[in-house]
Amino acid sequence: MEPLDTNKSYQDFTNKKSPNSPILKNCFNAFLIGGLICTIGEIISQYCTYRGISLELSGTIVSISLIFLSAFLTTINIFNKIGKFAGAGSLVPITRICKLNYISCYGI
Amino acid sequence: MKKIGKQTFKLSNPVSIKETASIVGPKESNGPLAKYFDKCIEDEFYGESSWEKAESKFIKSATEMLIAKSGISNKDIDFCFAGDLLNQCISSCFGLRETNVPFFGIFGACSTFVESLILGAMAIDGNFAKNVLCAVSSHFCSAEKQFRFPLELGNQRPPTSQWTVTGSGACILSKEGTGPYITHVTPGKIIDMGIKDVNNMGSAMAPAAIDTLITHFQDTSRDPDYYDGIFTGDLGYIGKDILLDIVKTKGYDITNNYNDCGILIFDKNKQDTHSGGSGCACCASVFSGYLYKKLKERKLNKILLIATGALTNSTTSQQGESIPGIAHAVSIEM
Repeated sequence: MEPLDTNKSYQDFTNKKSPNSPILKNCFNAFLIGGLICTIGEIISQYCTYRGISLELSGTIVSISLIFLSAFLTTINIFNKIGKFAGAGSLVPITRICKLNYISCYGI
Repeated sequence: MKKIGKQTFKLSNPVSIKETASIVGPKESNGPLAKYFDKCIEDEFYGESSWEKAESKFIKSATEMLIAKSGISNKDIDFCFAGDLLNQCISSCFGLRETNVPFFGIFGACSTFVESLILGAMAIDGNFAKNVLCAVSSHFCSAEKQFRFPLELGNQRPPTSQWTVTGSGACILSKEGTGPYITHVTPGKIIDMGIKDVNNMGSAMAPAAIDTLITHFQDTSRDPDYYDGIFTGDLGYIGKDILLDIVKTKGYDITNNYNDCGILIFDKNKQDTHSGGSGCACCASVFSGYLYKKLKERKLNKILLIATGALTNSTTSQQGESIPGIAHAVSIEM
């Protein structure tokens, strides 16, 4: 069957021609950076409880700190580089919520 | 004008491409064709406060530069055909609102440049105009924001994705002139082979390019060797590969004289552009900057320019629709 005969045969043909994303590498990077972001959060949390701040308030402080950090890194054009490297690793933690806020606030 | 074959038109009096102007953004300024562009801008914002304003400024600057270079004043231009990728063609409308030239906003996605050349050439050949302005623009940041994700979201781009060219290309078509001349035009049909991936535009557009290319050969009874170069607009590496393979099975071997503007404009290895360039300005700036100069120097004498477009928008892709493709061809000869 020729590739252009049906949609299905063309899609099969293009799938063969299109390189896949490097999934293993992306997963490893996501694990590394996602873990790192959570570790930073945990360090902040541990420090807060060490200073006698309640667990509930510590959680809020962690959120605020990470959101500030990602907004700051976006402004100086570093977050998109982290995002490119980490993929889902920077998408899953709370830093992503900040990104959505940032975009809706500034509309750029 | 005479219709030959299924959908090709031979102009009675070849229309001269009198002058061109090209202006590009920072990434293109560091690409392999940088020295051919009239102006390279290092600031993506071009001194403006938004990507949309920047894109309008690109097309505005390109047309101002073009009018200054050509020596034809605004009042001697009968029509302007212009378009871009943003909703309701706002870059062209805003960028050209001060030109005082009768304006037609057109949309053919990334095929808009050749669409404007075809309409302009037909208007001149039909004695409706003496001089016609054709201009298009695109901007990486505004296009990503509209069609995919805002850049600040920090997304990963798959290997099949293409990089929208930031910039603008424009030209003035004229009844009289010393060439290069538009001799034949082949407007393309919409072809949809069911590709849904907005990050794989090359695959979505390739069938339309194949259809227009083969139709052009059949209509004109030309074979691929007639042309010194056959250039598609923005199929990228994947689209080029698909086109070469399928065209070969149809009996046309264009391996030796075929290339893609999206491949020429960036250095894939150094610039991280994945499958190549795309956008209205890809074909327009490569033609206005690089190919036009090669034609003038007679390094190339006969070329076939096929601009390809993916006729999608963000709503249809979110609703799971496939991406219809289109490709328009013009034969340009010295």
